[in-house]
Amino acid sequence: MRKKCYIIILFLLFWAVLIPAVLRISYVLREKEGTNIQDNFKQLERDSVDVVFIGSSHQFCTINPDLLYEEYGINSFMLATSAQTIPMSYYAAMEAIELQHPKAIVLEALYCTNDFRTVTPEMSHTFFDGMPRCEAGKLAIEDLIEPEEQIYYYLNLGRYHTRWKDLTEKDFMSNLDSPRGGFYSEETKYNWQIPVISKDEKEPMPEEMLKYLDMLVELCKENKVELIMYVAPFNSLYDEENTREDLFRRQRIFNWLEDYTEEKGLRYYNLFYEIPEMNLDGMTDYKDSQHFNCYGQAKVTRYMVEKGYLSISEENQE
Amino acid sequence: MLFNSLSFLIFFPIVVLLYFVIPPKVRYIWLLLASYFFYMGWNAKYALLLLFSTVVTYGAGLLLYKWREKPGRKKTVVAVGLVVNFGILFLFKYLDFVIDTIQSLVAKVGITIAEPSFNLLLPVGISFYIFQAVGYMVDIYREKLAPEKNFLKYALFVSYFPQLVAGPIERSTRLLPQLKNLDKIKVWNLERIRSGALVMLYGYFLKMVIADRAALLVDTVFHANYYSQYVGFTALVGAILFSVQIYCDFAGYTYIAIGASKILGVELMNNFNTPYLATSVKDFWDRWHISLTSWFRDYLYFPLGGSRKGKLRKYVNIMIVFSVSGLWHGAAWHYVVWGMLHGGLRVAEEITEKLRTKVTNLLQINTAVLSYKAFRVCVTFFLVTIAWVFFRAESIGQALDLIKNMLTVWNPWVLFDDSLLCLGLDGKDWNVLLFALLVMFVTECFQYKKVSLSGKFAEQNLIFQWGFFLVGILFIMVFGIYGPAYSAAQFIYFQF
Repeated sequence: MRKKCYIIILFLLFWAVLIPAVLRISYVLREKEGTNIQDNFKQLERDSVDVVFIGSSHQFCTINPDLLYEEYGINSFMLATSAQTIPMSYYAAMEAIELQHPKAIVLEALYCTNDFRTVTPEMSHTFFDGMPRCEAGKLAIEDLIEPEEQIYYYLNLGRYHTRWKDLTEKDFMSNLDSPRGGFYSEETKYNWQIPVISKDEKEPMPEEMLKYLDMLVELCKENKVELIMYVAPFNSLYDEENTREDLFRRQRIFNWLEDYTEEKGLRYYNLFYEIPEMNLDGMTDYKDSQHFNCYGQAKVTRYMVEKGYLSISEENQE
Repeated sequence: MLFNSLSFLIFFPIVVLLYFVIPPKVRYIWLLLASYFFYMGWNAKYALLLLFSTVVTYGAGLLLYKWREKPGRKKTVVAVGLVVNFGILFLFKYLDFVIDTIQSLVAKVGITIAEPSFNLLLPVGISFYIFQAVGYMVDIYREKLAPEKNFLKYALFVSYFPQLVAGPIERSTRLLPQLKNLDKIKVWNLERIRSGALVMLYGYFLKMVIADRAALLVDTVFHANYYSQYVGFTALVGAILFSVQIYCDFAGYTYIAIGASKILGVELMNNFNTPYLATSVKDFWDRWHISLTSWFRDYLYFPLGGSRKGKLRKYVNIMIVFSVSGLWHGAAWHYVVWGMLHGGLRVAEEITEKLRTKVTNLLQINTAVLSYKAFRVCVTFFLVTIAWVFFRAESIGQALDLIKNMLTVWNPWVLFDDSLLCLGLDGKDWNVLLFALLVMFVTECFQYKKVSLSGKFAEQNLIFQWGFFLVGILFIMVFGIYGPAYSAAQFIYFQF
């Protein structure tokens, strides 16, 4: 009997060392690009954030949550991740409500013009890795990830173990990124003048994405969280020729969203039509053909606050 | 369910834990259920085939024993048993091959025949379990063994999950008595569990760190569309790494099987004994896939007459056995050529033995020294490696092209100018591979010298032993090849 107990104790001790070691190695090996956002979100004190931003890179390159706090006292968090599709944004909103219950959720609407549930496994990982093990996370994995792939979203060492070749000092250090999920880039690229179509040209958004957008609207309504939508202006999504038609197609959907949001009683700002007012400079404000750099980001963030676009409506004020 | 799959890593601890705590009398039933569950992980329907083969050989065993005094009936029973079992094997493994061969032969005389479609998938492990079941039946026929009366225990013998899909092909005289006495095993034996876990760990190391890493380069060099680009030393490195890959893959799998079975208290036979340290092709086959080689020796070579009917007949028998062995490995002519090549080398060794002895005496070569042994090991490894090209290639033509390109193009600079870094393994992967090969080589040298590393390990302090397991597991988790391919390039490309 004593021997059995001894073996059991040794066995338990072994696992008590192995499991934390595996978790630590998983963290070190994990691709950090974009995924620290979830780590930071996890560390926030519950119900401490008033506004949560969701969406794709267009969102985190447009809004600076640190500036919002320092200059305007708005306590916000950037939960947008690279290539966050509308279904992923729906689950991001669910996660935000579950963990923070903010007063408002702000969606940048670029991905209303795409028809993807997820983009690539790597891009999905930037959303899911480090995601708190909350109900929203489980539902998102079940809904959006192929069953045979799901295990790698819970135990991501299976995907990242080959990253040992690319490890840098940063991988071993604690999270140094903005605690509010902010993203900054000083990179500058000259952006041509952005062409804008007439507001009357409209085209509905893809059906499945609309289903998730409806779910997102409903979710916010049920939880008494205000949903604000906007579109950040860009020139083209790809550094290629013949992207003009693609840009115009997307703009037609952005125009269609005016009607949709009006019908749903949501606030919606299509900034394509406010480019002159924002005083954007194509020489200094973009990091590539579609994303603002930190100068453009600060300009648009201040503009949106000063225009009252990010103010929380009275019914959601405490 | 593969040994290196997550499902096995969940399945095995559950099987072991329950096996340790359930009443000893029902352990065999639990292992039988686990074995069928394990097998059904691939294709549930094919478990019926396993069951069918089990029922046939079980029934044949009982009849052979009942009619042990009636040679005529015995012969009929064993013949029916053999026809049914090898019929199953033929139907699922060789029918398409035979049809293809007939088609290509008649096409040469201008006749075209429509290809019948059977859509039969090759059931995993069929060659292994059928050979094991047939061996049992023949052993009873030869009166080496009394039949097992308990059907469930016999079914466990045929389906025992650690060795079900990739061997070792166990003999009924060895495995069956152990499975019959599972209730007498002292399950809480730390020494045995530790030793089994160590063997499993080594198996995972061979499979995941070496074999699957070597495969990245091998797949490039042997690619059906691009192999002609790889010539000289590049092709040679590809062939050598295939020798490494196939050994580490197969031996790794076997070690995991042996270790897993040891944890359950059942000893499986050793299937590999440092085969690449063999000094001749004969020696190689005494060390490579020992359970299959001995199966062919006992159930095919000896019945053919072995070496008792003169030298010429012996050489013919060797060629037959190796050709059949080639066919056993795969239903394609390049496997048969691989087998025949080994048979030819074996026969050539026998024929030239006296001549070689004369030459070494004439040149006053001391055959007892290490350098001479090392020379013979290198020659044997080279011959075996050339033969492996036929095994790995997808056709005889591809194999011949590769060997021709390997031996006729002189480009030693590829070993130094980073050309080898463009074949699927970068510099860091090469470092890991070479380090792992060094570890394997040292381990094999101990094994060659018959030093029990497991015994030495057991002598160490407990803290070292558990630390070794921890480091070993973490090493394999990080440096093993598994999981979905992670693409750093994709991350960078899709940064936004």
